[in-house]
This record gives sequence, C-alpha cells and structure tokens, in this order.
Amino acid sequence: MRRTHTYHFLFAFLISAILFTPVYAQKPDSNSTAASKSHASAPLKLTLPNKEGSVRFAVIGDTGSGTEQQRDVGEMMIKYHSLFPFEFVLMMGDNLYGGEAPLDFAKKFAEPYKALLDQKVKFYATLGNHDQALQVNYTNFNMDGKE
Amino acid sequence: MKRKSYIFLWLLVCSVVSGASVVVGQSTQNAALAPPVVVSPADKAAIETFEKQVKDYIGLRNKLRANAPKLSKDSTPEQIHAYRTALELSLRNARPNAKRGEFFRPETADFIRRTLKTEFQGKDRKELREQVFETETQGVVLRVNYPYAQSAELSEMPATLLAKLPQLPKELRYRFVGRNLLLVDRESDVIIDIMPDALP
Repeated sequence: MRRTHTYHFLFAFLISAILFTPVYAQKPDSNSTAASKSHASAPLKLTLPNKEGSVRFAVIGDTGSGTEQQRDVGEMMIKYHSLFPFEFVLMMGDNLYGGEAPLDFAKKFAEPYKALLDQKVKFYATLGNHDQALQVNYTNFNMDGKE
Repeated sequence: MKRKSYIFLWLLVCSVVSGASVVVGQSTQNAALAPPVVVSPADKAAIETFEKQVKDYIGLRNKLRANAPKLSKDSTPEQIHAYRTALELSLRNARPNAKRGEFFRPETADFIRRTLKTEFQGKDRKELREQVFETETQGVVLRVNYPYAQSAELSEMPATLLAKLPQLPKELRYRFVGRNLLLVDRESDVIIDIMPDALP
C-alpha cells in the first residue's frame, strides 16, 4: 500500500507540475551567437530522405536583420545546399527590418544569400508586419507585384 | 490503510481540479468580455466622416499613381527607392496644407481612445502596452505629410486591436509609436495623420 500511496503522490505532483508550469518562449540569449557558431562548424548531417525526383526547398523567416547571425544562417544554408540541393527558398516574412534603402536590400538579403542567388536558387517571399509594401516589386523576392 | 488510500485519491482529484481551474481561469481572463463600447449616433457620424476622408485620400492617391511611372514587378532596390520617393513627393505636394488632426478629428479621436480604453483593460491592456513599447521608437520624429523614419523599427499592431479600430483600405495602415497612433500610407510610408495619447 505504501507503494500505491507513493504512486498517487507522484502522479498528483506530476499532474500539478504540468498544469502549473508556465510555458516560456525561447528568447535569444548571450550564448546564442556562440551556439550558432558551434553549429556552423559542426559536421553536416542530413536526415532528410533526399530522394530522386523530390521537390526540395528551404524555409526561412524573420531574417532581414543584416546581422552576423543572419550571415551565419546564410552560410549554413549554402553548406546544406551542397548536400541537399534545394531549388527554392520560401521566406515567411520580416524580410527587411528597419530601413529599406538600396543598401538595406544588399545587407539584409542579397549579400547573406549571394552564393545561393548565384546558383539560381529562387527566393519566394511573403510580407511580414515589419515589411514595406513595395517589397512585392523586388525582383529577387519573386512576389509578382502581389501580396 | 484503505482510508489513507482514499485520502490520497481525494488529494489527487483536488489537485487536478484546482490546477485545471487555474488554467481555465487564465485562458478566459484574456477573453473576458469587457462591456461593449456604446456607439452613439455622434460616434457613427464621426466614423463615417473618417471613412469618407480615407476614401477621398485613396481617390487622390490613385490619381497620383496613375500619372506616375509604373513600378515593374521585377524592380531593383534602386527603382523601388526612386518610386517611393516620387510617390512621397507627389503626395506631399498634393496635400500642402495637411496637418495633425485632419483625419483624427476630436470626435473620431475621442471614439478611438474610448474604444481602446474600454476594450483593453487589466491584463489585456498590460500586454498591449508591452507589445507596443517593446519596439525601439524613442526619438523617432513624427511629422504629418513626411515619411516615417526608414531606419526606425515598426511596432507590432496586435490583430485584436486592429479589429477594434475603424477599418482601413489596404493602401493605409495604423502604426503605434509610443502612445501615438499613426495613419500611414503603406507604399510611401508618408504619415497621413497622428493621434497623440491613443494608447490607454
């Protein structure tokens, strides 16, 4: 019976813990840069099927910061592209944070993904709440002038 | 021993019920229905005036766009920049006397302030303020008929909040900068009007 009591208690504790535990959104911390660096240098491992005739694509979002982290992700994408030659990239919005002058398009998009663009990988963007409406006309976002 | 077992079982049930009630309580707190805003005939008239002004602005804007060189769907960043600047200038020239309070007239502003204050109370208000103030907009210069600073961050506009404001056509949008509510042209980023102290 003692064992049964213990199980009851443990179960009650577990249920309470599940119900009362708040869910925290992951926020970038000071270690994120170091973590991304260590990921960038880790050997590539591909777990996708990569079957002949498959449609291969990548998905990115909240990218347009122009920061070192964006460039790191860009480099990782290029490395993975050699293993998994995705034909296009879907952009989920917030493509350019802050300014949208010609230099911003370069710094926050064209430069981080230059190697992919050079290999004719197409990017298909959608607008996020931080994006200006005229992005729909940018040739490399392939939005066909439509939202 | 059997009695002890019942006690533990009872504790378990109490624990589950109390935990569930807290969770349900938290989820319903946000959705708690605030007393609906009373829309008086004067409010209706104010909203109608606002909507008419917006419609007139869109008419003017479409006319200006029709006369301007078209922007290709395969544009370079330089072409987009040139187009935006040209649109901005033509909008400014077309409304040389644009001033604060032209769209957000006192009666319209009063309705919006009252709506936001009534609809966002307690936890909802706190969350709304946190969301808006999360954005770094300090020092951003706001001037009617001039664009919102390109380099400045754009604040979130919660969908729950947008649903409470007078609806806008796709060419315009609302933006918060601190407690100020802006009416902004989406393509040129020109500030059409500014309403101070909008956020409760």
